[in-house]
Amino acid sequence: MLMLTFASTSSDLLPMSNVFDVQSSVFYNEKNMFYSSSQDFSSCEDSSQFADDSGFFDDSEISSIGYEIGSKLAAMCDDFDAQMMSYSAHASDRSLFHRLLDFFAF
Amino acid sequence: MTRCTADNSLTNPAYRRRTMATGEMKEFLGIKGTEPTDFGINSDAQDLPSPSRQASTRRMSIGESIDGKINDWEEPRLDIEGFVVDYFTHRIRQNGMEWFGAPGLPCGVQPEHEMMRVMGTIFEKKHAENFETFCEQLLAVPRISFSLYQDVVRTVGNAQTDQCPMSYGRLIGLISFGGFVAAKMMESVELQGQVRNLFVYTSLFIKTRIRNNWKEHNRSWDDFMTLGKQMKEDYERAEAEKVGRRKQNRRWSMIGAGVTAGAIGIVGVVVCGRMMFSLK
Repeated sequence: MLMLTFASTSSDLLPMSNVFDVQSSVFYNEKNMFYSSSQDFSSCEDSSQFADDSGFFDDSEISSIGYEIGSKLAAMCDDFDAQMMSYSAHASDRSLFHRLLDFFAF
Repeated sequence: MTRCTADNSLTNPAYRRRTMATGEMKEFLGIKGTEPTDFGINSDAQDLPSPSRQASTRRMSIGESIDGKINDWEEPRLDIEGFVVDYFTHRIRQNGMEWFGAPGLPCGVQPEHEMMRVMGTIFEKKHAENFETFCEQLLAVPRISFSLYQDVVRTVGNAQTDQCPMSYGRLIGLISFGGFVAAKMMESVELQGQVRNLFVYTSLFIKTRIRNNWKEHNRSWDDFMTLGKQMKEDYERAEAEKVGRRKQNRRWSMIGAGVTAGAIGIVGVVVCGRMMFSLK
């Protein structure tokens, strides 16, 4: 069975048991060749290998940067959603208002 | 061009095989009928669905639902992969580049895709500065960019909320941010190859959460379109007002400049007249 994993930030891949039951690295190498089958797994670099020898950040720093950006982005998304959902709240009286406008438009 | 009418396409198995977005994506992702059951949703072991619940929830194939009526997010023309690839391509093109090798859209660009472009653009314009800062941090070290991106997406998806965990806001924000990062990645030879990883990861992440949450939270692409249209109208009206105000301000400042110049001219004439009169 083909296996599909999205490598995590830390050097250890996402724990096998609680991620999902499909494991294969879905990455491209330099020759832009897409490797998904497990036989070619060994020849395909995945980002966790990148992360290991990055030398710039250690794992906790990587996660904290990602977490920080993600938290801010989540707040932005939730504000946007609140604004969008506000349209459903006054959608009914909006159409009433438009009907009123149309009535007086002549 | 594959005709993507909602009524016969779903019952016609031949159509399903021709549907690139579903068939090729499964082949592409090596998923042979077993869909990811938990896409990092429950990072702790105890949140895992208990074996008994897992066994009882038989996996429904695409297009099938309990009451026979299918959810619109299960229609092949509205596969999330289509939204992501359309928006990424659109955003990359805005930077004057082309994503060669981008997966095709078997049903072509849908109205919902176009609405996602509008919503994604509005989202990005609202947070342009933040996007630039986030992207700089993300791409600072190319080797770990994709890992960081995964962390960002997972943090957004798992952030606490009393609303739908994959709300329209989060859906639009993830696709908008993903498109922005993809466009920036295209500018670097070293990172161009990661755009497809972004596409695959973003699509799968969102797809799993839509399937797990939208029904319970009454979300649908139909509702997305209704709200999106109103938001788009309001946004365009606000933009038109802004442009109108700017024009008005410019007009008033030109009038002001004209009056000032006129006044200076008059004063000058009076002063010259006085001087000539006193010389006589």
